[in-house]
Amino acid sequence: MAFNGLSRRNFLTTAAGAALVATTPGTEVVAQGGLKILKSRCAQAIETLDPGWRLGTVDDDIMRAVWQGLISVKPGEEWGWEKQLASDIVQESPTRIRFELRKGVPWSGGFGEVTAEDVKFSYERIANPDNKMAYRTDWEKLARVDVTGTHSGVIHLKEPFMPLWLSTLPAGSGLVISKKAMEAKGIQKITTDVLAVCGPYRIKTMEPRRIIVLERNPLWQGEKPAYDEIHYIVILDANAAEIAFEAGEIDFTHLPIASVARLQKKLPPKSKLIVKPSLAYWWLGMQSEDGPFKDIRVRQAVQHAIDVDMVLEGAFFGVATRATGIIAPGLLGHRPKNLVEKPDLARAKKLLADAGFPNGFKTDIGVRNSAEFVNAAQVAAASLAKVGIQAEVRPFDSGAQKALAGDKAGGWNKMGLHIVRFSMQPDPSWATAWFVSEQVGEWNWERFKNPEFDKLHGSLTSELDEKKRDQGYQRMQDLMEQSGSYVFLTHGVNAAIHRDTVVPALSPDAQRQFWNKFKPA
Amino acid sequence: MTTADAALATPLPAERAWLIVVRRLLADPLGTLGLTIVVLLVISALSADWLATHDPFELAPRQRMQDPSPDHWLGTDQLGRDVFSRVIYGGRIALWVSLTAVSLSLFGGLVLGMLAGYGPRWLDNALVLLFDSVRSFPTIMFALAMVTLLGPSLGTIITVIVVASIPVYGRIVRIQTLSLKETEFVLAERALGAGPIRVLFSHILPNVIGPLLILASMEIPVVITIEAGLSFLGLGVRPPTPTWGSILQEGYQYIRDTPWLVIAGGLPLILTTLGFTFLGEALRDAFDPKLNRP
Amino acid sequence: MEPLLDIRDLSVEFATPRGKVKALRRIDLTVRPGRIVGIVGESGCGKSTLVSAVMGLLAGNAQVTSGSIAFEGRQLRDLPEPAWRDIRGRRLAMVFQDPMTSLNPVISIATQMIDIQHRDDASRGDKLKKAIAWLAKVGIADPEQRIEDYPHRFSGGMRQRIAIAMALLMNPALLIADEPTTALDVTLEAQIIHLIKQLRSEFDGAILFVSHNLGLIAEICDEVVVMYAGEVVEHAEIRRLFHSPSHPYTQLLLTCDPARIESEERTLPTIGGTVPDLAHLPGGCIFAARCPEAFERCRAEAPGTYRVADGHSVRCFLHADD
Repeated sequence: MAFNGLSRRNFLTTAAGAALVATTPGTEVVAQGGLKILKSRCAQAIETLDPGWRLGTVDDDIMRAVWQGLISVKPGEEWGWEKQLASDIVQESPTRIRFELRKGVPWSGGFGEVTAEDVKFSYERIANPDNKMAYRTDWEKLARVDVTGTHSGVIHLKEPFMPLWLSTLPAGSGLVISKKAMEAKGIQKITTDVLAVCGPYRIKTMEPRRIIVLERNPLWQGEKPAYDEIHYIVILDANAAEIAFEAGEIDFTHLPIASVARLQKKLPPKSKLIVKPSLAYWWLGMQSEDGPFKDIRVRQAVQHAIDVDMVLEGAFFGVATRATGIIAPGLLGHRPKNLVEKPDLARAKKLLADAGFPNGFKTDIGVRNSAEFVNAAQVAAASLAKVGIQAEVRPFDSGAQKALAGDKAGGWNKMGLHIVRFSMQPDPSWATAWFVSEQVGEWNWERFKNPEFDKLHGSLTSELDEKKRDQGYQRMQDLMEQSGSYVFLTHGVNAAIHRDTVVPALSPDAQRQFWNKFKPA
Repeated sequence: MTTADAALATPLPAERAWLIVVRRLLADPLGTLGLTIVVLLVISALSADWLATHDPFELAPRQRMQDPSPDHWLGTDQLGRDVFSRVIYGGRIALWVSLTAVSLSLFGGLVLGMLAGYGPRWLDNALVLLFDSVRSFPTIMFALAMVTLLGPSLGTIITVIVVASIPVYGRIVRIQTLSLKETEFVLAERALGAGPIRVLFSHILPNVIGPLLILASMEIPVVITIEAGLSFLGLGVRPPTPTWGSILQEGYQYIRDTPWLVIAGGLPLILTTLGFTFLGEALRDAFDPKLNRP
Repeated sequence: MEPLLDIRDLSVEFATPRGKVKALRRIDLTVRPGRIVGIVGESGCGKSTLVSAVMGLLAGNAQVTSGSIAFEGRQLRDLPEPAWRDIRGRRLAMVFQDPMTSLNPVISIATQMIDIQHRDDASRGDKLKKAIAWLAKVGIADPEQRIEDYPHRFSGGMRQRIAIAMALLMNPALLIADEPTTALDVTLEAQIIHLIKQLRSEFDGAILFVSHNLGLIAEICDEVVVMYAGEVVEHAEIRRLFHSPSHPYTQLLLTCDPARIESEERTLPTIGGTVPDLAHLPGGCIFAARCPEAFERCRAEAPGTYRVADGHSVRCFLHADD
């Protein structure tokens, strides 16, 4: 008996070996010629590795491994930053930041070392309105970067800009790329070829829809990363990713919230679960300018009708806790509690009756077409049905929902209610920016217009007094809730599972991976 | 009279064509199976209110994802709703959507096909062009476009299916009308003073409707599958309306927690498709005069 | 007597990819009330086109280019379609060649026969009674039962009887029978001919009987029109035609009729040559190329219609009076 030249004896030993590997999934982090390899799941295809154009957190993960900023978010439990390219960085005045670069940090590809010219180039290209980059608001207060020496410079702001230290400098928009490399190749926008790297890793192979392999940057002089190679494997489907994890194909993956409850009860062998509050915010909103919702009493009735705990139970399986606003706990401006804390159906019915809708009315809840949203909307609709409001759930592709709700031409009034999630950086201004009057017809789908809110948003980014900022942002969330247009739901959670042979290094919300700080257990 | 003539002229026992068809159908085991499944489906759809053990819309998030039990025969879904009841009501919707869509497209196909086949040349050319352009557009792309425009709902699904399948019926009716128009009995009718309306409805329609009804019974499972497919893609009926496609889709999301949800949504879909297909094929054979069986 | 049907100088052309086919040229035909007029000729001579033109059922690519059709004193040419429908069935009726295809297979005889009486105000029951009566007249046994049957339950001969009953149901002034026996075997043919003769007592209209069979024509017609390649070449009382055929084509046709051949021969006599291409007509007489008696003038110009005797005319220079 022969299987294509494979003897029976041979076949049996091979099969036994395969069986052995299969029964001990993922313990072989060290494999393949003695290289230490970390295999992580990439949940989206890679499209743009440009600091000014990046699309998702997957792009961020790769960019942080191949480039560095002056400073970087510190992995761990608390939001904070640490120095990277900067050997020294000081806020000299509210509008002046002086920095000193470490000397002799080389660019790959023979583009010399990292200089203050590179810093100036990297930040000013994002700030330049002519370039129309997606992240230009991160640098909108930048006046210029002065180069005072090969390794020193000063960042000048037009006015004080507090988010700089939390969501600009340590994040993607603060990364430094090589001016010489960009000019030598004559490129305006980086896609998947990063040209020159200065970080701990470089790209070995790049198949944007299948796998991205990073290997050590041989020129790297800093702390040596524990893993020789990072395999970032593209698996779009969450169920498939979980199966891949159990089969030992990957060592780390983020999880859908639906899986958390099950995994909390029973974890696969030799693995660990991470559940962290997210910074993002979910809310149920209603447009305030058309139909029944023009009347603030109708909006307040909705606020009193929605059983938020039940919505969270249905959409997040009890894993997520209720939000008190759009700014997550632990951040400046977090509000201790909601104004409307418990559902009050009698009050809601009375408000509806006063507004002239004693028998309720028909409307729609627009949501993104994914499980958490659709589940949340169904429970919300059940809550509303109890006071007579018949809300039909309308799932959309995210683009289609934005096109309708953010339609300047008037499509917005086709939808009464919506449930939305916005992502968030650690500075509170990132949350309030979308609800100013200017954003009506863009992202302010509630068409919430409040002069005090607009004024506070404008002044608080330049406010140096932390206490005043804290109180200001709390006040802004009160204003939102008082308008009747908002029911704050949750910040959600970020969940991930990893092999117990790996110690991950993640941002405090568990969203971002710092691969050079991942370590074997 | 010749003897052959006399033999044929002797009146035979009064037999209706459909009696022969039913007898032939019951002689075919697959046809009987198909008929049984379809009849059961119709009964369960009509009596959903009595058969369902729970309100299919009743939410109980804290009782989510329970295993099958005497109270919940097929367990509960991610929002704690009774899956068995949702499957029963899903059957009602599947049947309603498919019957509505098929009869509307049958009607549309008949009218347009007869117009094309019997009407003036320019109208024929225009309608054939219309049929061909609709057919050349992939149904699912068309569905995506329509859902984006109109939003997902039962009405949108039915519209999509009707628009996409009118050409299927229309082309068949047109071809049949074209050939029937040339037959001597149509000419004979016209020679006896029948106008176009009378020719179309009294003479062409009865000749076309039989094959068309068989085609329609074969189209019903296709429509149910399209509806399920669209619901699975999240483009179908709006939640919380229970449909087999959306039960399947939700089941797939939580397949690692509640694998029976996928079975609960998938099995009736498979059975119904098989049932209608068996029935349609058996009907086609039963109506086929060339297969000369008892 | 005022003619029932009076066709004068009728020409019909078909538009085809090959060009215009001149299917009928300058046809003159008269049918007087109560008469049976036969039209005889080879296949493709234009018999069917002529009856279609009379019925107003010409194919879409056909066009009447000249002449007139008067029926009961009314001009039929260019009559609007609704007016046509009023005449068809009521005053004009037709029996077709193939009884196997001229009845709708999926509708019962009763429904079909009631359906064609749609212009009458009578009740359904009366219409049914009338239909049954006519079935009895055409010799359908047990008509009360059989009328509920579908066409496939009847033999070819029975179906043709039904078709005749349907045509006569509305008591038309003119019945057109287009080769009504061609698709039947000889015994059935004889029965149908017998039936038509017999029905003359029930039905006082005229009949236009189209056939390629001179024997049948001789049996039932009062007068006969001979057609060749889209033209009427001879028109005469039936006896006169058989006793003194005047056109060489008629004479040849009579010698070729198997029923009239007396001597025993191994081969049937035929007319040599072929019918001319109607899209590219030769000059001169249409029959000249095949005519054993053709002379100079026949090839040079087309003959007119010449009178041989009362009610006997012929389109041939042999009888030219000029």
